[in-house]
Amino acid sequence: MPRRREGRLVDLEVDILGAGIELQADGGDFYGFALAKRIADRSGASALTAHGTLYKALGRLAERGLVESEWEDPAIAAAEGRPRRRLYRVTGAGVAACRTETEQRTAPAPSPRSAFA
Amino acid sequence: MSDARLEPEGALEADRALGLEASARPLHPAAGRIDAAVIGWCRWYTADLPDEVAAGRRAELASDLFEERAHSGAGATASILGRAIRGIPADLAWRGARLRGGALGAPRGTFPLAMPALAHLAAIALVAWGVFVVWRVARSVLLGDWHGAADVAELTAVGLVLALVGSWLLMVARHRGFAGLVLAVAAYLLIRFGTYALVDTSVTFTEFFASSTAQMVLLNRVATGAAVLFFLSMSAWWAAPTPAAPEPDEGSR
Repeated sequence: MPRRREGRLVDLEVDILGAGIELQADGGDFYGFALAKRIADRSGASALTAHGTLYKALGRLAERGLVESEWEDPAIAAAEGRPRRRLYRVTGAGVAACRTETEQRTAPAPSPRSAFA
Repeated sequence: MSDARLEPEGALEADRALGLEASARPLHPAAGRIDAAVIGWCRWYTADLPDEVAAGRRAELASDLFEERAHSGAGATASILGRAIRGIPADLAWRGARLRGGALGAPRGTFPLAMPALAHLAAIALVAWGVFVVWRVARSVLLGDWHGAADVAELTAVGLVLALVGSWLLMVARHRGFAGLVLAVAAYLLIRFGTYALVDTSVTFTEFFASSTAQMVLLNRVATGAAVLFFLSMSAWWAAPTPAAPEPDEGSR
């Protein structure tokens, strides 16, 4: 895993927030598999993010308050005959962090010479 | 997004964990052995974590597997296997973080005893030693050159049985405290008396023992003491109630 710089997001976290914001715009909350699928679709990758990697990264983002989660109503899952989903939502802080990180990545790096100007 | 129920926190967490465990049971009709193996792996690395943390991870993984099967059917097998294997380092890192969280209030210096892998390794080593000694004694008896005391051989055999029982108990998370006690007794019998039984099975061993008796006795006592202390400490660690690990992403927000 890439080394984290203070206050910055690693690639997977940016992907999660970006994909999550898109899914949220489509239909509100999102869940793990839908998120893995959207991340793969966005990057054109054939393999989905590994279970452990995805849920560990979601846990980190939740600890930082960039996403929040709640368990789906059991009645809905039971009616559809499937396990309950943990529903995630990117918070306002998550949207801002994703935007800031994306801007910082796209901004041209300052010339070393400017430090001596 | 909030749960607003007026119940004690412990009861609420237990209810949540039970509800999540029940919810994780439905398997997709296309699910096969790989899905079962992935869920089994998850059960293993969450076995000794606080109930709600473990139930949350299991339920989330069960949901993921179900959704992927619903999306790709039988064709999802390779993807599920690949995702599980590639995620193993992250699973173990996550588990380690949860364990460290749970161990913050524990006495210093006992952290390695919280690792089931270390306990399994020690139990396997003890069983291997027991099997080796019992096999040597049995072979010696069958060949007719056994000249040791019967009670030494019997205590060694009892030690092996206890080591097997302890190793089996060790695989069940809620029995690990008791498993440590059984293994401590097994270690005492197998190392203390097993060494002497082994010495009696071979002329070479007997001569070697006779040539350095004091050192061998000292080594035997130190090894016995260390093994018994290890398993007793392990038992004390797991017998103590597990403090709840902080899991900010577990709560409803």
